[in-house]
Amino acid sequence: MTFLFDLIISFLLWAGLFFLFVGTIGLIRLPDLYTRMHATSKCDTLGTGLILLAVILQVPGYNEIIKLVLLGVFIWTINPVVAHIMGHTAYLRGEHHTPSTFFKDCYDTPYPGKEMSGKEDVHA
Amino acid sequence: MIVDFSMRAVIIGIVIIVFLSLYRIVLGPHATDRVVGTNVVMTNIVLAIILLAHIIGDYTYLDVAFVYVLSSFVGTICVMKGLGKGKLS
Amino acid sequence: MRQIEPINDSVGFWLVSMILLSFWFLMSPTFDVFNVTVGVACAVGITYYWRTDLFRLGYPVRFTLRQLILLIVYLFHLVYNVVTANIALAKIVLRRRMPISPGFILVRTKLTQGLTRVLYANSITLTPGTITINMDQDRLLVHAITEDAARDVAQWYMQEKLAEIEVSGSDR
Repeated sequence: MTFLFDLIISFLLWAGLFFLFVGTIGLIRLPDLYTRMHATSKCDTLGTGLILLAVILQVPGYNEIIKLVLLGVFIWTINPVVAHIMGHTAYLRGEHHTPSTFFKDCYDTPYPGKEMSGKEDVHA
Repeated sequence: MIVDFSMRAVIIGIVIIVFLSLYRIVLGPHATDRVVGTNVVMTNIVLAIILLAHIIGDYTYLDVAFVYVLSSFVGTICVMKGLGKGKLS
Repeated sequence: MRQIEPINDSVGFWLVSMILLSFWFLMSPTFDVFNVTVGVACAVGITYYWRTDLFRLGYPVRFTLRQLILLIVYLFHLVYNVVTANIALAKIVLRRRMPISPGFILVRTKLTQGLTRVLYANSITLTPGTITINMDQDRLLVHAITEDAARDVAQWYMQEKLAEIEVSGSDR
């Protein structure tokens, strides 16, 4: 029984490491800032969650469990917010994006406001 | 036994990941690319702190992880505010 | 001599103070007189300092039990979606020729409250191959990594769940 438990914990640890590794590979290979942020924000979040779950399953006291759960909550809320801010700053600075990027608008009415409109013709 | 081996191996893997993301930090074409790489390094170092705290058996290091998470968040926001010419949102 | 201004939302004030105080007691090692005094003073003082940002007129800080249960169900759905999105992204990244077709798309939400809008934007960032770049009122600028993800995000089923959470707490 303990062997099965150890196996589950090891599986969680290795799966978390795999997803962190996929995020870093995406950070290196993908061609564009925005696509790189896809890789880092998603894969880092899930990898952190898996490794934290593996540690939570084997700590002794309630105090440590609550602290680890709070750390997980912090990372799961901080990571999307940071990705949002970085994407918005890159969008305002007009960073390079891959030439095959499409722009699409889901509703017809055009609106004022320079920040929200795309760089090329969104309403085309 | 197997869990102990896995945790140490995962820490070594995290160090390798940090070195891989140094590629993007050093050679990133723009400033925001470097910030993305730095964010990856920060998340991985928090995980390394937590795993080391569990291996050593001294859970006061979790407070260090808390401080590291919050200060990295504030630091990233400050850098992005500076890059975005003083305005967020 | 400044006069202490009244708080227009006393229930929300004590709720936020209790959350801060519980975080203090999680961090403090002992329960002696010094720790308890400093903790209570810090919690109430910080909440009073940020009163104009936390408690605005017409937006009370409170929730019902049904909203809490629906939120927990929503979080389980979110974890499931995060796992599937990560597997999809791993399939994209580890392929030799990466099949990506990135693009920006502009969608409109039907959510009205600020907190649920933030939750929806964060969920979009975490889940189906999309990240939120900008949000203005009810318009979201979303970057998608494939064209299928861009097509799916316009009518995503998690928005209905968040709308249900909003409706069930609207007795104000």
